[in-house]
Amino acid sequence: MITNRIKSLRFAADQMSQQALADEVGVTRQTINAIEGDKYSPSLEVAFRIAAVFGASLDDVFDWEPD
Amino acid sequence: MANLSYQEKNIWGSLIALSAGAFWFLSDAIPAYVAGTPLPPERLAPWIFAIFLMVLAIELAYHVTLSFCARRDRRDERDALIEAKAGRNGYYVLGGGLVGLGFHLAIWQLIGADPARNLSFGIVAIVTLLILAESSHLVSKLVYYRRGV
Repeated sequence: MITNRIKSLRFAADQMSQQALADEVGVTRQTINAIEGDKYSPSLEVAFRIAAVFGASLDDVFDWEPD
Repeated sequence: MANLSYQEKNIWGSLIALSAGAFWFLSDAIPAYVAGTPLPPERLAPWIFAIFLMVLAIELAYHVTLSFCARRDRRDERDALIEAKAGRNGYYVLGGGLVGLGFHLAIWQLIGADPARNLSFGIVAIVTLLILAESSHLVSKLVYYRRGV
């Protein structure tokens, strides 16, 4: 299962909104919301884009635990 | 409704239009079959075409209104994945139904049922299958948007 720390990273980044992050990444706000809620695992490209917005590595944003 | 994304609102519009068409079609077609008086194929075609036009008109009116009233979201990879998975579900329903219908008609042919009645039944069954396939496609999309994919 893939989990993430996007919500806390957004708040650390001057309380960035989901819409602002979505605009930076190039997806919809609903997709950011689904990723945050662990309802959707993004493609590798979107995962890298999200990490790049926060200036972090993939490991800092996403965690993977075997089922 | 305010909590729904643009894509979900779009799907609800299509579902409402399809439901209206399905209601018109099935509320006439099923009782006619049960009563043993199915419409002949030459009368079925214009009727189905009229229902198709009605569905198209409702969809068009809804989507034009929505495009003025709601902020249009761009489609992204999640939308594409949901479309693919929901489309697959719709094709399963259509494919499974067509195979079943094929067997059904072949057996009727073997036992020497009236060919005109067979054709009429086939047309009604295919339209019903199309309605079911599109319904499962749309409902799947709503479920994937709400519960995750």
